[in-house]
Amino acid sequence: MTVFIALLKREISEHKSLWRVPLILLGMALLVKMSFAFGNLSIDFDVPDGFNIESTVDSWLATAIGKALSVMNYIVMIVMFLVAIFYALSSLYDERKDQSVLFWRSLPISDTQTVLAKLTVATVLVPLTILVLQSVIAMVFLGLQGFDYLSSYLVSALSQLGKVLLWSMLPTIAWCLLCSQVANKNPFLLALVSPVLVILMDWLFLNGVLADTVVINRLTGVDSYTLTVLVIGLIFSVSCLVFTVARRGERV
Amino acid sequence: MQEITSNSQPFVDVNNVSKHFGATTALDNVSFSIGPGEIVGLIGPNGAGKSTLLKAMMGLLKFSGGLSVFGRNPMANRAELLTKMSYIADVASLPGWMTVGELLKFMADVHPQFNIERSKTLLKDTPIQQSSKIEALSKGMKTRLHLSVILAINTDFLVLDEPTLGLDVLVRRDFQDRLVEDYFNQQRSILITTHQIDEIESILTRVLFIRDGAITLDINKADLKIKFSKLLVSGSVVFGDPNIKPIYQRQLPDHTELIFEGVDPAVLAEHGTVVSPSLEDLFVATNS
Repeated sequence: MTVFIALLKREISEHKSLWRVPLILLGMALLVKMSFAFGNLSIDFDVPDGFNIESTVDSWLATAIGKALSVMNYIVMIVMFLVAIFYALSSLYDERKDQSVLFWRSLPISDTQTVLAKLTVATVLVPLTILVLQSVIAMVFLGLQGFDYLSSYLVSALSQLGKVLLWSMLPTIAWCLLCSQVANKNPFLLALVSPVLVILMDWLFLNGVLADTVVINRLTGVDSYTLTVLVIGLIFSVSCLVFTVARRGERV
Repeated sequence: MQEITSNSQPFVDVNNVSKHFGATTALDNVSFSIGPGEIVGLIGPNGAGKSTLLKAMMGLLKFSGGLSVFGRNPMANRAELLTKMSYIADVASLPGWMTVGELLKFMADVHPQFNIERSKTLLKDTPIQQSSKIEALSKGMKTRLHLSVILAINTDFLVLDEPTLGLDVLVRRDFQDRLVEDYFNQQRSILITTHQIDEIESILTRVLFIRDGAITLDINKADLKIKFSKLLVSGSVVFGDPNIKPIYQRQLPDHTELIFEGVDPAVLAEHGTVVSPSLEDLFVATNS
């Protein structure tokens, strides 16, 4: 366990975008909140009787903040998933490029452990960061009301995030880790080109059945969370990971 | 009882190991074993099979034949074996983004045999600071750091693959001194591969020459001087005994060098100056 935690720590300090990007997003949220705060100031001015539309303004503001919050939540999720994807694509490739893989593999750590640590960062730590960041932003936006908001938001967010994770993220990250391990020059291109080829071939010869269900759904968000799609995704993920571990063992 | 078995068992036992890459033979029935108290040089030109042999020992490569490291199959027990042996695959492989302090902390977390205090002691005499980023260190200092980290791992067997490649003479000499002073004792062994013989000759206790995947010579340094001698003569030399024949002969501008195997130096001394051959002489003599 100490070993695994040390491996996670190593990933976080090696891949700085994992914690820098959330900080930037938080800064962005603060800016948005500040623009609202200046708006708030004007409402505090005394409005003459008869012109008091305070309640309407309040509700309008609440909706605007609510909307801004939803937008922020969405941005946080998308950006952090992109961070996870780029992290997965670079992690194993960078090790080989800077030769440090020779050092890592001279330590009594199995390849399975290393690959699982990287998978954990992308599929557990990143989603946790998303939830924490969204909660902090909600508190920043709504103040104490944030607790009410979060108690209902987090429940739906958990199930939503869970679905996205299992159906879309896990296969994507597993695929990216595999590409990161096997790519000779550019893991990003490899990860991108082969799905595009599959889609093209599929549209040409199979009327897009395969591409729509297996590839595009994973990226755009599965519209029907069916068991078949999940099982296919899990089998695909496990195969990718097994192959990644095996290939890391072969490289010297 | 446990103690006795582990002491009598060789660290590495290589038994008829072969490896083929398609039609090329990388290793051809290689056999040797390494026990405690040895500094073995595995010496051969590039492409001789040194790396293949090391990779097989490290469990990085499939092979045919018998090979055990600490009595175990390296292929199936790679991670576990690395708690018993230390290994430097390349001195330029430390992660540059880490600071020295982070590296030591990481080692302490992941390696059960790592002694962080020892590594700090080993680094005390160097200009290396705990807060320095590894990529900011010079190549020589990186090597020194890597060695200090590896020497702080309490294992009995150390494997170094071309450890001094590309290092200047001062760093190289320091590296060797550290190995002998800070690591080596009668319970421990070191295996070093190199293609630059003169670099490590002085610290070796045993020499393995490898060429085209086969071991061409396996001899203790102490026996080497008894078995081989080098004769320097000016002009030509004729031996009465037809059994006295040089295994190698080299014409130089002012004298001729002759290398003999198993010939009494006293007999040779009648014909010229007898000296002990260098490893380089022997490598050339036994491989041509």
